[in-house]
Amino acid sequence: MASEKIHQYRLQYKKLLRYYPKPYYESFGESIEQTFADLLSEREKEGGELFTFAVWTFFETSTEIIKENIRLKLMQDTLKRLIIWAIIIALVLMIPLFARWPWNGFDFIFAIVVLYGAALAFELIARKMSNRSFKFAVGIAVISTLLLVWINAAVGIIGEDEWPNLMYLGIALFGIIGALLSRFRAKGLARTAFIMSAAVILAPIIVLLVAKPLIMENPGIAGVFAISAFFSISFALSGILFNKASVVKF
Amino acid sequence: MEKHNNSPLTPAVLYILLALSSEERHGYGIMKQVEIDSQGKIKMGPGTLYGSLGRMIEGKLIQESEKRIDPRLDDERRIYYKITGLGQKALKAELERYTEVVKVAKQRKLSPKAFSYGI
Repeated sequence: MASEKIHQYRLQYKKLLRYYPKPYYESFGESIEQTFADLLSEREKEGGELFTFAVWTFFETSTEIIKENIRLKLMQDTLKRLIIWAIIIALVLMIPLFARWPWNGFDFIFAIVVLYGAALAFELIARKMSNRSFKFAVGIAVISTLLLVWINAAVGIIGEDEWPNLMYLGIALFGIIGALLSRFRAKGLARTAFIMSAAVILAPIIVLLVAKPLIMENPGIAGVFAISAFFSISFALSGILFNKASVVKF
Repeated sequence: MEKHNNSPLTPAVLYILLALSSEERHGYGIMKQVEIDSQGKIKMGPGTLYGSLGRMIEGKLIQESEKRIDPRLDDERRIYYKITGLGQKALKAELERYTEVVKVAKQRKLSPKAFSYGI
């Protein structure tokens, strides 16, 4: 039978456990309290000192309570931010709706998927690191990929609906797969961004070599290379920033 | 079927999985077994233990079993935890990793004493 002393410590400990986030407390509160009481009983049986042990456990548990609350807050913040993104995207899509752009249902669905996908990618990847270079790199890479997909779907970079545009879509797809395979680690993301940077400038060169007439169409050779160079520089910049973020400072 | 991502486990998670590999245990039981298995090197407080258990449940490495009385303690009903199939796979992968490391160390004739440098 537990002593009065243990009973008192247990009561105080139970009060402390109330500071855990509610779902966590409901799942584990009772078990944590039981384990604490078991440890006290064991100590009492061995003739050990209870006060110091109780103080240490209160301190240890308080640290865990802070950690769990931070974890929950971060999760709630992410959820909040995703809801804000959804509202922003809905507002942006009001423009084509009320300006009566010639968009059909598919165009709207496409816009929602691409915009929300980009927002989601930014939130999930950027959240992994507090490093500013990493966050900037994610921002640049996500916006560049989004623009690349959007321009391609809307008008195409090399002519309209011509096969070379599939190369640009392939580069965007490579970026997504590369990010997933690298598990969003800075070093892997840097490598992916540099490959995308090279590929995006290589695409018009390939077309120039194998299907020159296609690249002569609007916006012309200079236009295509200017657009490709813009994306190439953006991806390279993103790669440099990822590389900077990957360097561990001692 | 659930798949473990095969990344290395933290010492606390490894010892908890090890403790649950032989039988279902409640929190205090896990703690005691971890202490025995790690020869006292890993000591967790209740907060740390349940923090790990919570994350392991989220990761589907372990799951809650039934609530029952432990006759060795008192008449309070306690939640027991058991290892899942995914947890067993993760433990197996980790033990294989350790075996490989020991094998390499033996091949290179390394021993813990080789790094004492007279300190």
